[in-house]
Amino acid sequence: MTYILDPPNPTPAPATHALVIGVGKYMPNTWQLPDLGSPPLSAEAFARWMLTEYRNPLAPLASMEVLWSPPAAPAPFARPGASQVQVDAATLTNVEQAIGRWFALCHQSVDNVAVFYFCGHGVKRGLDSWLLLEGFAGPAKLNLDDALKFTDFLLGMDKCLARKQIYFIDSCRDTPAAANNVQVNFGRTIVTPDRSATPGVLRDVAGLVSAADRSAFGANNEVSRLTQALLIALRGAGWDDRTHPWTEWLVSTDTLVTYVNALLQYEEQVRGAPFQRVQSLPDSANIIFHYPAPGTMPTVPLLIGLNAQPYPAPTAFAVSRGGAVVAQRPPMPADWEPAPQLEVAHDYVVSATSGGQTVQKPVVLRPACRIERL
Amino acid sequence: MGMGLIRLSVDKVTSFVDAIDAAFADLTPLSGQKGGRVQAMVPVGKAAGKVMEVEPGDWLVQARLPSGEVFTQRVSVEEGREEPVTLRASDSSRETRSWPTSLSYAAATFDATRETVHVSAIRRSFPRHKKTFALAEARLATEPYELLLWDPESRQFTSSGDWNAVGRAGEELAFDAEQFNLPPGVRAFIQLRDTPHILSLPLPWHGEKRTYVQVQAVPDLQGEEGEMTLRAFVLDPQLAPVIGFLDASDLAAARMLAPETASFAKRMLYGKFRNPLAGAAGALALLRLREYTLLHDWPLNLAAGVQWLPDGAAIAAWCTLKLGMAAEGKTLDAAGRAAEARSHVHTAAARGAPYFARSVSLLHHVCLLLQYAKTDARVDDEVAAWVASLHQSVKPDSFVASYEGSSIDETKLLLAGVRPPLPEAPPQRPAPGVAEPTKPRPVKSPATGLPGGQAERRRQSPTSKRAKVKKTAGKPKPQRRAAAKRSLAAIKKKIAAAKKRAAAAKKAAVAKAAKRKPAKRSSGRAGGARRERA
Repeated sequence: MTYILDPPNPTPAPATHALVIGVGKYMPNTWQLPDLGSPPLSAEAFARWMLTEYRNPLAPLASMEVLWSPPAAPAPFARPGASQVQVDAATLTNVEQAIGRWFALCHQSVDNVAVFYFCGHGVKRGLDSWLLLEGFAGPAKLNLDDALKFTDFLLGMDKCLARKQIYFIDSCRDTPAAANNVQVNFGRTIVTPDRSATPGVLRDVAGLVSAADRSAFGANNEVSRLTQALLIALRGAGWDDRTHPWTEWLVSTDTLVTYVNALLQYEEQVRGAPFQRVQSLPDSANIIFHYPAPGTMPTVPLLIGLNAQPYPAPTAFAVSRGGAVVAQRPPMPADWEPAPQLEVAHDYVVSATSGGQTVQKPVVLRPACRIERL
Repeated sequence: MGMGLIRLSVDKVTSFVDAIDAAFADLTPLSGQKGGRVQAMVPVGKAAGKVMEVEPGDWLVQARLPSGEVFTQRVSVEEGREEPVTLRASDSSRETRSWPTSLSYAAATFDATRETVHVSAIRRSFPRHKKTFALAEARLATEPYELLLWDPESRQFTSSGDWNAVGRAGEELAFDAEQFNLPPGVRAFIQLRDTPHILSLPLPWHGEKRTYVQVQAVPDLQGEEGEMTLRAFVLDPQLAPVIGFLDASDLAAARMLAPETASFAKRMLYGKFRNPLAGAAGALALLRLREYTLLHDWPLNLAAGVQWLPDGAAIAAWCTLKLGMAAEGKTLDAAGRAAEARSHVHTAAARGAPYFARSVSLLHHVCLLLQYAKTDARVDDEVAAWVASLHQSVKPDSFVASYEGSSIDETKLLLAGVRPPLPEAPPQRPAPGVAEPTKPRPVKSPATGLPGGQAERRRQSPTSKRAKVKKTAGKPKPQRRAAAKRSLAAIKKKIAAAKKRAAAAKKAAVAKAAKRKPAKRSSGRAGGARRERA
């Protein structure tokens, strides 16, 4: 049991309960699925965001359990301002038990919010998908059970009273050629679907699921590209002001998917990252997942560059607002991303100076990101 | 203060299919207007655009296509004046319509030197990142594919060489739904030859306007490198944007369609007996949009009234179990819901594989919910196994279903469906004192007919999937061809007879209707519509 945030006793309701899993350690397997350095780091980054930045006044975070399996030695989780916690491995047994505890906590109120995050290998066949846990070794080793059959688990979670459920699945969902021959019912459902136990009120389920090929993950020792994009979105680039433009910002699951896709596209265009996208879960409802503190303005990625490529001469860039320069860069023959990121606003002016000539352009900066070429 | 107007149009180089596009317009006030943001759908192409009433001031106008392309312009609106805004999209082809399509294209990496297509034959030049589109297009033109017809009576597939009703749009196949008018029950499929991959064509489609069903070959991300998969799109100008945004997971845009276009989906469902496939598609769109109240009890009528359509029964099964949908004046308790849902699942299975992927998902959900429950309404084992196999064989990310079993024979078996024993066995109640099983019993594989374990072992054998495909492909076929020809002739004969019968029935119905007084027409609104039933 690895609670990063222990559930208080008695547990308040409504509340948010999170379960975060990152699997990077796999047995040598016939499906050629390698160990991954990225998932435990990604799980840690997401868990840290939940602990320190997640804000939901209607259902504050009450508990969070983390399981991870780094490819090397087990690593502890450093709680902010507290002691280190040794994190349990994401084996089938541990995951089964953690899901049981998470289910029980979420099940205490219909107004609870259940948050589930997974990063690791995944397999998809037709409309069925599996999340692979530590120990999974493929059919040759006959331990196909070390997998969570996500499709059925998701359906089974309808039994849980928490009527708001949000799932983040960051896994490549390859279908290894050999997987086409596996038995229909491999993996564990853990929470079996049961019509008779389903609450009368329809649940709101939403989520963000990777829809990628083998290139889902980033570098081995970095947070995965998808989780990076997700966190950038949660920290500002995915905020939305549908009801009160420029003043009241919220993160809803509907727009989160769109904005995370925009950020992934930005990474492709700016850094040549491989193609990757996310999808929402089927039948997704629109759930407001995060309520940023009132008065906080989001910041978003911005790239400023020239249309002419390669640069004819070193170019200086500047961003100003109300006549004052807010960011600038000395002449260089390359594009520029202001750091730290700029707040959203509709009255920026971007300028490029090259060979004694200056070009200016008004720019509106809004989520999710912007590429401005002059 | 008076209002101003923005006339927004999204101009785009349109091809055959782009005419069905719609853009999601998002207008953000820049000068503190009180009205907040304005969002709407705007048709793409040569249409006059859409006029939106806004408060005077500066606005940021954004339009988003299902592909994720975003176009932006700033505009100042004065009181009482109309400001035209034209956002010009790039010269793009079909990638704009559906995000999953663009995903497939863009993610695929082709080595042109290993492909058998001639890139020089492509009709226009594509930017580098779009070259894969061109390759896919050209590949379709050279790919050997086969049109299959399925006869519900003989329950047999027959290859058809009759491509007269098949047109082409560029290098793509496009079926004119009017010309390619199959009698109810006879289904048309496209098979990629020498692969176990079969696409179900959503025909017959009796659209309000002339409708095409377009088939594209796209790289298969789920398969081995270089493999292709087929996708079909119904180019119905009102349905396509809904499906495009839903497929694209752009739910904010899709939900924007709810007030405007969900009413169209509702109308499609309402007109289910004129165009049953559109009725099913409309119901599925409403389910995706969670517009449950717009469904009324019409899925039940669709299931009962269109006896060749598996999707109707699949939708009815889910609606009965999850929403408690019952015929007018009837209420169902939990046991009644389960029993009805089970019956719908069996009906769907007897009708064959659904036309739409989402229907497969609904069937699977119902089976699982009934299968694990401590209830007497378990779905028949054979049917449950068939649904599970379908669920693993249907290609994801496509609205129109295409299936791929371990072999072509398995795919065909899956498509044919299962006929559970009739009449249906009464609900099995456990004997007093006997604990009910909480897990599904071992099931037979519909493909092999073997109990679970044996079937699984066989599935894992090296002869399955690709190996089997190659084996089948290499066999001499003269006898099969002769049989197919005979069977084709029989099917054609049956089709002709069915058409004749349908024409006679139509004639009789028209004559009967002429004799009657004009019936009070349903308004299509909730109250009036509830009375509707064919």
